[in-house]
Amino acid sequence: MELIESEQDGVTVVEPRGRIDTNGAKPFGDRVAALINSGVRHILIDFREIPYISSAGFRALLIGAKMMDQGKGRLVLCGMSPEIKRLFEIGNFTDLFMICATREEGIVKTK
Amino acid sequence: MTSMEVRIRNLKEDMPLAAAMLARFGAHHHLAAPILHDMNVVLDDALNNIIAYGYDPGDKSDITIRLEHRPGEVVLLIEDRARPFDLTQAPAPELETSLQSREVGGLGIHFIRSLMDGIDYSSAGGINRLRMTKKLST
Repeated sequence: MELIESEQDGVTVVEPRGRIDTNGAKPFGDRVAALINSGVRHILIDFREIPYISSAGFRALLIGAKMMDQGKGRLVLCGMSPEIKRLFEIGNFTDLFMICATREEGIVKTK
Repeated sequence: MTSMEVRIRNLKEDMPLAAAMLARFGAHHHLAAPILHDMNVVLDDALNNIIAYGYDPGDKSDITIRLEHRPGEVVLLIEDRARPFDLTQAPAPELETSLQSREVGGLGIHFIRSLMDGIDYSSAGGINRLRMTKKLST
């Protein structure tokens, strides 16, 4: 699990590269939590280099979303494949996360 | 029918060995990306459930993962000696849509049941067998 981070228009873009599975979820979740704990309030997670995410990854995302909600910040997701989008629908997560098609749209919604 | 098999320890750190086998299997059989995606999610969640909840702390055991390519379908077979757990009988999770009250318990099982076309579970002689099939629609 590699995590690429960048700043764009005041938004911290996190781009994990690799599978967010049982083993990948921990470094991914730890990093998102650390960013929020350090005061970052606008995070966009770009899924374009994620081949798949299992329930462990959803747990990490949910923890991040709850932290961000309590901190009055914004956590937005973008760039996911149709297969990953379908998991969000199966798990009934589409109402809990703002999901954007592209990074450009995601930046606008996260600001 | 061709198959691949790997035996891992009941440790999360061994799970990438099973994922690597699935990648080889998918490449060998030219499985479509959506099929391989769903198989990856199911493999990870099934093994995670067994390893996280099936043993007492410190218990050492083996898990065998087998993949079979059959006409029109792929089969994922997992055999373990963990505590018996029939995921086909587990209650559906509560998919709460309020963020702060949402939990993810049971989500992995929900994914497995939603993504696979057939699931058979049996437990006999201390060995649990979970056989899951995925149709190869063209």
